[in-house]
Amino acid sequence: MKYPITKHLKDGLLENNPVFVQFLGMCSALAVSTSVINGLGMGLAMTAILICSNVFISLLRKLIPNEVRIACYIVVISTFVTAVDLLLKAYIPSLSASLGLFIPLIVVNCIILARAEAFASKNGVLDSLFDGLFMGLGYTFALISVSLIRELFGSGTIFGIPVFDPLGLQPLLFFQTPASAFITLGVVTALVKAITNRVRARKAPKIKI
Amino acid sequence: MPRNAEQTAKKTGGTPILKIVCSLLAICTVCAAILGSIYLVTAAQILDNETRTVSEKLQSIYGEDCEFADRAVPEGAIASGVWQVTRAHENAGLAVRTSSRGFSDDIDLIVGFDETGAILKIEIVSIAETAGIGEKVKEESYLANYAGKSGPLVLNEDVDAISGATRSSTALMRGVNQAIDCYEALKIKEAA
Amino acid sequence: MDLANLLLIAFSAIIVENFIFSRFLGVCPFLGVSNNPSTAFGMGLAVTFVITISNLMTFGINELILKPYRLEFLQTIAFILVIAVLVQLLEMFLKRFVPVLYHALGIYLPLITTNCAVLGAALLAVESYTSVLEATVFGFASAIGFLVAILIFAGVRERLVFADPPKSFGGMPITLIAAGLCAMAFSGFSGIDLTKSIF
Repeated sequence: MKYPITKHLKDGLLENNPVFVQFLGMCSALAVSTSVINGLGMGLAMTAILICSNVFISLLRKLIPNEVRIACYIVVISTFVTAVDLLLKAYIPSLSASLGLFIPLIVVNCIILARAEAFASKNGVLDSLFDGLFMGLGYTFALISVSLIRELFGSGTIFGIPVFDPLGLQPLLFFQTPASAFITLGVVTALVKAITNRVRARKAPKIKI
Repeated sequence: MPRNAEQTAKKTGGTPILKIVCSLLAICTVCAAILGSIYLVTAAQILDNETRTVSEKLQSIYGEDCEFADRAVPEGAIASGVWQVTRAHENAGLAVRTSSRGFSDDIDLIVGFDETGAILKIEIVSIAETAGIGEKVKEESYLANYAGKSGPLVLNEDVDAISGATRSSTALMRGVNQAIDCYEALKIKEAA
Repeated sequence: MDLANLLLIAFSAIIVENFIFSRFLGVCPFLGVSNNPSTAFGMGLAVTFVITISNLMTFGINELILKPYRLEFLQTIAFILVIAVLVQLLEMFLKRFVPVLYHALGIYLPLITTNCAVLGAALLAVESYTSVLEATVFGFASAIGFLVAILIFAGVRERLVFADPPKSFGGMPITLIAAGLCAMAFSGFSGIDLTKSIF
C-alpha cells in the first residue's frame, strides 16, 4: 500500500469529506436526510458501492483502454448500483421503499465517478479499497449528522424513538420540509469548516510567527 | 482544446479499435454475469415480499379464514388489483387496490368492501407523506371513519379532513372513491 | 390524454414539484454553475434540450425493449448508457450542423451525463406516466423548472457576492442557506391542490 490507513481515514472523514469539503453527492445528501435510518441506509449502500467499484476498477485499470474509460466506469458503477438496488428490494424492502429513486440515482452520484477517475484508476487494489471505504464512511458521517438534526427537530425522534414526547416538546415541522435540508446542510458545513480551520490554526502556529 | 483533440487522436491511433471493442465487450460480459446472478437470487424474494405484504393486508381486513381470488380490473377503473373474497365458499365481499397521488408520493391502499358494498376496512400498503402531518391519514383511528360508508364520498361531509393535512386527506379520499368506482363498475358488469 | 392533463403535468413539474427545490434532483450543477446568470441560462438550456430528447428515447426503450422482455430491473443501467451516448451524439451533431448552438451550450454538454436530473426525469417518467407524450412533456417541463430555479438562484448569488457572512459561513454554506430560503419560497406552491385546478 502506498498510503497509510490513517491518511485514508483523515482524508475521507474530514479533510476531503465528499459532502462537506468537495460538495459532491449533494442531491442524495439533501433528499434522504429526513431520518437517521434513511441517512444511515443510504450511506452504507453508497459505501458498499464505492468499495466494489473502486476495487473492480483498480483491478482492471491496466486493461481498460484510456479512450473508453468513462464508459467502462459507468457500466461498472451502474452494475453495482443495480445489484445493491435488487438486494435492498429483496432483503430490506422498507428501506428500499423509503430511499426510492435515490438508490438508482447513485449511478450519477459524482462521488463514485470522481473516486474512480481520480483514485482507483491510478492506485493499487488495497489503497482503492480503503479509499472507497473511508470516502463512503465520510459520506455516511455527513448524512448522519444532517439527518440527526432534521429528525430530532422535525419529528422529535432519534432512530424512530420518541425523544420530544416524554419531554413535552412539540417537533418543528419546518425541519421536515425541503427548505430545511438546504439550511441544515449549510449550517453543518459551516460548523465543520470552523472546526477544521481552528484545528489547522492550532497545528501550525509557527507560520504566524 | 485543439491540442487536446490532437492528443486524443494520437492516442486512438495508439490503441487499436479491436482492443477497445474487446475490452468493452469483456467488461460488459462480466457485469452482465454479476447482475444476472444477483437477479436470479433476488427475483423470487422480491416477488415474495410483494405478495406477502398484499396478502397480510387482505387478511388484516377480512380475517385469516378467507380466500382471495384474483379478478380482472374492469375497463376504465383506476385500480391495480381486485380480489374476490370468500369465507367458507360464501361471498364475503371484494377488495380493491388502488393508488392516489398524495403530498409527496403515491398513497397505495387496499379498500375492503363487504358483500353489501359498504367499506369494511382500509389498509395502507405504502405511504410517504410528511411525518407528523400527512402521515396521520394512515392511523387506524382515522381510517376507521371510513368503515360502513358506501357510495361516492365527499371530504368533510362523509369523513373530515385532518387539519393541516388537507392534501393527504384529499388524496386518501380520492383513492377510496377510485376503489368505490371500481367496485360499482364490477357490480354493473356482473348484473349485465 | 387531453390538453388539460398535459398542462397539469407541466404546471406541476415546473412549479409545485420543482426538480431542485422539492425533489432535490440536479443540485450539483445547480450549485456549481449558478455563479452568473448567463452561464446558468446556458446550462439550463442544455439540460432542457437533453432531458426532453432523453425522456422521449428512454420511454421508448422501456416500452419497446425492457417491458416486453421483463427486463425492467435493467432500467438504471440501460438509461444511463442511453443518456451518455445521447449527450455524446448531441455534442457531435451540434458541432457539425448547428455551430451557433454548439458554442452556446458546448461546454455544458459533457457535464450533463452525470446530472442526476436527467436520469431522475427518465426514471420518474417510466414510473408515473403511460404515454410517450406525457413522458416527454413531463421531461420538458421538469427541465424548464430546473431552468427557472437556476436562473432565479443565479440572481440571488449575484447579490450574495456583496454579502459579508462570518468567515466559516463564506462560500458554500451561505450559498446553501440562500438556496434553502428559495426553497422556502417555492414551498408556498405546494399547497395548491391540482386536482381541483383551474384547467
